[in-house]
Amino acid sequence: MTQRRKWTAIPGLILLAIGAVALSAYSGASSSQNNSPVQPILFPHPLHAAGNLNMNCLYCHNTANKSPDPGLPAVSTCMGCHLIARADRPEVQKLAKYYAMGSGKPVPWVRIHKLPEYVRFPHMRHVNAGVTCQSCHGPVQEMTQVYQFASLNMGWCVNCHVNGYDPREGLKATGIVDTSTTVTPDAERKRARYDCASCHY
Amino acid sequence: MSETTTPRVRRREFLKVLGAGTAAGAAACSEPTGKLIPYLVSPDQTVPGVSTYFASVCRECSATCGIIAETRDGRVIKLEGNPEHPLNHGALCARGQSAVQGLYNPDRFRSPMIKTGGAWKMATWDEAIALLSQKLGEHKARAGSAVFLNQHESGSFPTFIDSWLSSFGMRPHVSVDFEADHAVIEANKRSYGVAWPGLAFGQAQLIVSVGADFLDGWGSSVQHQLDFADARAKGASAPRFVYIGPRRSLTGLNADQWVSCTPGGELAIVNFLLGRGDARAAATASGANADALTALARELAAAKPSLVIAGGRGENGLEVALAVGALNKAAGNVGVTVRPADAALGFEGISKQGDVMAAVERMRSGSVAVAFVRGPNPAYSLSPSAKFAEAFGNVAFKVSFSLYPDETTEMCDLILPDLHSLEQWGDSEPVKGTLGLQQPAMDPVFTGSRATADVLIAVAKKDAAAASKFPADFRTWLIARLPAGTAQRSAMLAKGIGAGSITRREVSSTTTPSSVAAAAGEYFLVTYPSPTLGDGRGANKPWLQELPDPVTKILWSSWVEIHPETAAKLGVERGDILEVKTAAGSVRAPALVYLGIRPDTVAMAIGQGHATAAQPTFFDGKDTGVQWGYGRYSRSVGANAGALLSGAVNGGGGWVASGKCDVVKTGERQTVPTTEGSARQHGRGIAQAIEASELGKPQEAESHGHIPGAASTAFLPGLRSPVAADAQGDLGAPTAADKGNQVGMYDPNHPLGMAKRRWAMTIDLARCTGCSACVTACYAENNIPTVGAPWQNGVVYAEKRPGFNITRGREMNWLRLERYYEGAEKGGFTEDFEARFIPMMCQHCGNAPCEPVCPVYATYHAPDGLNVQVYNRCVGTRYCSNNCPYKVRYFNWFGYGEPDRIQYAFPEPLNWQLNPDVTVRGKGVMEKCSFCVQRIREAENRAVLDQREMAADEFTTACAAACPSRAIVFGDAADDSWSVTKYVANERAYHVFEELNTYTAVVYLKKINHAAAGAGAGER
Amino acid sequence: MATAAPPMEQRPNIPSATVRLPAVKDYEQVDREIMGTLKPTLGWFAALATAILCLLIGVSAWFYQVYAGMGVAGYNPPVMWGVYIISFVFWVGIGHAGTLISAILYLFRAGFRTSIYRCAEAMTVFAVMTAGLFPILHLGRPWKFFWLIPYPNWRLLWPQFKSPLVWDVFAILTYLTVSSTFLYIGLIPDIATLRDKETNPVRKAIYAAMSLGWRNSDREWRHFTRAYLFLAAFSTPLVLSVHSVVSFDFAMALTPGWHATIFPPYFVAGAIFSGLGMVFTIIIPIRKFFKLQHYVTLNDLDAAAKMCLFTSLVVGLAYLTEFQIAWMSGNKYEQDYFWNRVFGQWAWAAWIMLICNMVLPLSLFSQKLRRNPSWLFILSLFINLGMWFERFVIVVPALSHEFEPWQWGTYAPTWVDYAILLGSFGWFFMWFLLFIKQLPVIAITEMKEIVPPKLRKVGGGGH
Repeated sequence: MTQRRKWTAIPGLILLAIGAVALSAYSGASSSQNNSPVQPILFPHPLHAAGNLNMNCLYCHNTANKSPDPGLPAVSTCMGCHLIARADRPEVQKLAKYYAMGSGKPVPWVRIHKLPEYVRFPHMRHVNAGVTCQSCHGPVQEMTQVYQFASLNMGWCVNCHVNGYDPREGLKATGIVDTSTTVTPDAERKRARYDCASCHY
Repeated sequence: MSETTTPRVRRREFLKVLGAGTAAGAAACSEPTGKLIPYLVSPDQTVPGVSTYFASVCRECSATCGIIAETRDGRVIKLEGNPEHPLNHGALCARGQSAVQGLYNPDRFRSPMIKTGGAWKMATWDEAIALLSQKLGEHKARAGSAVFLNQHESGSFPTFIDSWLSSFGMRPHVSVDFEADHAVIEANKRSYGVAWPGLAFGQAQLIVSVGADFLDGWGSSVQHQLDFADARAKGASAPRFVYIGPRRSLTGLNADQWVSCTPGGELAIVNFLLGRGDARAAATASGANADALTALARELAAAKPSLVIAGGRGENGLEVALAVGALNKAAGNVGVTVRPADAALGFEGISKQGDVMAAVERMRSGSVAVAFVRGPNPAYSLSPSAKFAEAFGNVAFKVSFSLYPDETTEMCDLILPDLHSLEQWGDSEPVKGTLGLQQPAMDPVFTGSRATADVLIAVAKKDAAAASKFPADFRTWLIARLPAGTAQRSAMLAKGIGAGSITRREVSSTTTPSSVAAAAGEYFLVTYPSPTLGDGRGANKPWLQELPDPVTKILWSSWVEIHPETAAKLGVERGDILEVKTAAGSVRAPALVYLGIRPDTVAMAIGQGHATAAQPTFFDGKDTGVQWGYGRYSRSVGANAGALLSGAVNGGGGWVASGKCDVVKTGERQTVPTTEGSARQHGRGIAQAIEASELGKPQEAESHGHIPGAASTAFLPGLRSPVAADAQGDLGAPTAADKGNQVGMYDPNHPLGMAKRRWAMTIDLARCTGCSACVTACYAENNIPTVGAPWQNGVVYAEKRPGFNITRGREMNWLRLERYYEGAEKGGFTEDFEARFIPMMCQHCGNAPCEPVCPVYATYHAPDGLNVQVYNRCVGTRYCSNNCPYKVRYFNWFGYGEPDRIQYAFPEPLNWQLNPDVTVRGKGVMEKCSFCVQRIREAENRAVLDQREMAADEFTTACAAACPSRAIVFGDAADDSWSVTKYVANERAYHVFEELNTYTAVVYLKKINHAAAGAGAGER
Repeated sequence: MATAAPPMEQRPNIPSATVRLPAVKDYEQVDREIMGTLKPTLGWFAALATAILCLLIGVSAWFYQVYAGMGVAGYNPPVMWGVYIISFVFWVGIGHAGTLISAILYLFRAGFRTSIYRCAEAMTVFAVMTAGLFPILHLGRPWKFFWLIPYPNWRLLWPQFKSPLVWDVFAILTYLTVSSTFLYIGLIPDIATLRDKETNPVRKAIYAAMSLGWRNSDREWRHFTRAYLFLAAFSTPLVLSVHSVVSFDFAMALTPGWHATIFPPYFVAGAIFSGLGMVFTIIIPIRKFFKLQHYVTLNDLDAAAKMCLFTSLVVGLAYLTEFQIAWMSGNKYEQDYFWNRVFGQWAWAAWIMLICNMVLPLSLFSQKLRRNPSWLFILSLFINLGMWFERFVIVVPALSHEFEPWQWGTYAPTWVDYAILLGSFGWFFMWFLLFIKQLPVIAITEMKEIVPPKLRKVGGGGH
């Protein structure tokens, strides 16, 4: 008896191993989610994008609604205000140094959100469809140091394209508290094509 | 544009990042996220990630077509024709497309260089300019003798050089164009009063070309091709085309009839056509067929108006061209089909080869103190009998303005690298009354190069006498000359053209034909400038090396054309190395057995065989990859047929490009790199043709084992492509029960309405001339790697031979141009065979064989009718290619797209040209024509941004945009407002391999043949 | 049924009933002689070393190919498949004879199988293990091979179940699992025997584990025979299905010369034929060097040879049918292709195939040759060659001469292809050599079944 039970353990172990492999494959292990590098200038998004300044993302990332590339503010854009405003702060002085005549040199920001070369992500299509920046980038207006909010895995993209984008969820992400508890009717969810060639070519 | 970008914009750093980014392969999955470098001051007009377009002028040949340079984030990424331009109306030839590879050529000089004690040293501009003005001072006494050889270009620049030269008391420069047909230009001047009259093919009833290869880059090629294609597309009423010459060039292959004659025999024929002498005499003198001549004479007499064009590269070139002029006058064609009024002015003011030789002689005499070379490469192009090296050596101080190392530059003492034409200002006058503005499309790729004009000004400023004569820089000088000055400049920036004309410099030429010694030899020899490489200046551009010669389909190599009969006599087969000997010299090249050449003649193309010096470590031991010869891509490729020429000059002051030679079989062999498999269709009806007389009559489709009762394979636009339809249930018939109840990406009510569209393409074989501009356009648009360079092979298993990968069939041409022969199966000599050209790319089958066999869904059918290849999903089973009847899928055998590999196809800065919208494929994945899906998406994005529906014919593919015959039409076949739908309905429309039920989205229109008056329809 | 209560009258039920081994006297001798084969010899070590060397050559060639790209192999578009796919089909084919002999012949009670089936079965497992490698190492991006396996993933993507290549994955994996289980189950009683005779404690422990605590009890024997019968029945359809699926890789394509309904039966026959060839190549040296002539008798070889002859005739018929169909199809592409195959570009390969697979095996009509081991061995080598070239002739000429004349081409393997092919043989024989010295290459228990038990003289029963 005991002997037989001993041997039946083996197939069980094998099954366990297979299950583990499948699961590890399923969890998008290769994502750089939550990656949060230190930037050459400690730019505080909360100060700019929230609080009493409460600037619109598009003020600095000014091509996000007209180009696949969201655009980075040129150093001159920053200096537009910072020639006067807060010119005494150390971080601002760092910025000024970059801008200084002669040694003028752009800021080498460290890139956080990076899709592989074989993926095309047209920002303007999403922005103009009313998708809030925060739905993908997370509550940047609260991030003292920006980190990668979403996994940016293909499944994550396709999920939204197939099931549709819920405008209310998007608004919630921006911090606007939505009191209504009703679920968005299916018709109001914005769906998009999930054909491979929409992004891969 | 560049003057708006302040010097504080650090564009270079910015680009480096992008350059590196785009180069990463599709195989790379999680690559390091680099840095993000913003602009310091953002330049107006440019939106990152969105293209900016600059209208400019093409300088790849003398015609000066208009181009539009597409720039992205400050880099030129693509050239296309300027639709507004009177010459090319938006089309652009392969050589024009390849200008970007001149701009980004990895062998460009990084800085001025000075030769001291035989060794080259990098120098600063101050040193270089100081040295030059010092030398000028030293030789002031002998200044009058100085020589300035400039690559011929139309516009104000030549005048500028002369004024500069004169301010130093030097004689006017020599405007060199080694590929110009001087005899014809001379004759045109005498007959019509202009160098290059407009040719109205459309008006003519009959076109006769006497060795004028107007489809092979002869003269204003793109302009001629547009008109010719329009004329031939008129169907039944189209002019018949007869070609007279010893060899069927691309132009000859496009003719309905070939009248073969010995080189030089043309004169007798034209005289006969003029009514001087009788057919027999002409036939004996020219080796042509008497009956053919008589028939031709009769036909020519009947055709009113006709168009006769002459080429003049032979010994009696001038006489032939003059006789043709007389013939046109007699037939009353002048003003009708030959239009001096709309002459192409780019060909005015070219100095004759005689003048070049005169300059060389002066150098030899040692009287020349200073010599300047800007553009031309006489050390390569001049016949060895001219002993250029020796003569040039006698010059005390030699300056080169070349961008690239070449044979001539190597002999100089000082190199002042010029800017590329896409980086500097200039102008041109393509046709009377129209100005073309050449504006910089981007900042210089290498800060070490400077516009020659500005360098000359800088030198002048150092000279008390000359200083006052010049403004601060060339741009100011140029704008001052514009009729309406700055205002007009700004106006012209947008369109690239404007009204006005340029006071041309007159060249006084004193050429006397050199007496040609009666050459001896068993065979006639014909040499011709390569349609792809020109006079050899294209040889350092991988795209042009990789572009198969339109006639022979050979690439990365030279060859000797020889007729099957002659080959049999010599016991020669394709690939046997032949030695061709003339009095001047001898070259060795593999044989190509070619139907389209007379048995008593052999032919070779000029353009290959540049010097192959070893690569010196330059610039104080730092190896920048610069190497002598003519750059890495031309090294040890082919042989220089120019070495066979006597260097004699004909009455028109042009080379005598033909003569006599002996041919010896060396016994060595070499596989000729070619893209051609079988040159015959084996009755498979791939390239179909129809007699003009058959048009309009009911005709049953050519059947190739079509199974009776099989489903109709007629073109079904829109959703009715079986694959898309399946997903809709009930084969998606409009009457389908569950119409619209389907969800998913094939749902006709899908939010983005993809499934409403069916992208399709029509190709009119009656227009296609086989020029192959579309092929290069495809390379440029889709980041297709060139694979023929000797080092682009395996590492251990490596055959370091140019084109080796091609001999293994590994070329990556998504769009290839097939050339099939009809007739002349017996191999004996006959003039009566036909060539059919057919561009073949992915047919985007509605019922694609490749789709179901891919185990990972890397290829599948998109709802808008595209057959999609997803590179990053591909695992490389290559089953799709096995199952593709059209064999249009290409595999990345090596890491052509991976920067760290020896096989990398885009060495810095060539990778700056890469299209950011197209993935660069890594090794081990399959790729193919995507119908330029990136352009489709771009158009969709644009439409959505403007909140409108996509307009009909709003955009097109790269191949269609470039096509100088307007043979390719792309569009949405499901929407009748797109013009493609009209062509689909054409009576000549057919699918290749219709019987396979692939429901292709590419529809071909049958070629139209025009049988001779006597010959019955359908004879050929 | 076997040893449980063996009264004489039930004998006919036993598969090997018809076989008599006069040279074998008793069980002791069986144990002694067969276990004798397990003593490692110098020659064996030499052979093993050679096999491993070949394997290493293959492996290094493959690493080079992965690093540099598929371009280092001899691919010559339009020929996108080459030596690797050829060898894949070749090795899968080899496997089939094993299953046929061990399973189908077991069900058919063919006596002669007893002496050779263990060896053939082991050959099956190792051949399939070899075959399974090729689809992976012919991939452009082998590190992505697992995308062919359906598993839940964050891309929310599945394989294309319409693709024959995905069917292959299932076919091969099934075949590997079933045949190895079959082999192992059959081994259990023998392993138990080894365990009992073993003195070295370590080996004893291992054998003990592998014998799953076999105690030679009545109940175990009943379970065993039932399990064995069940697995035999289970593997039987695989003999037909697996190679049919492999043939779909070609038959499902529209390539002229591939797109043919005859492929499944044609491939199965070919597979068994090639497998029998390989059985001869293996068993004949073994019976010689291991002195097992009185176990693997000439009768056995004779019977196997007959089967080989039969399959050869079937294969030959298939060849001729292909030509006839092409000829009568009136399909231009098909006809051009077959002409080019036999009289054109690829005549040399086609004729190697025809001579080795159709002509030479006809010699087996002579009983003299059937009972001549040396001839059978030589012939088997020709058969292996011929069957490899059969696959070559199927894969390469079809691709090199497809619909589009402009893309007609040729094909020439490079040293990388050859090295990897060599490596595959190294891999196969490494396993086989290890096997024959660790486990009995002839089934001890089944042998005992056909040895007259001397206890019977005393009139007792059972063990």
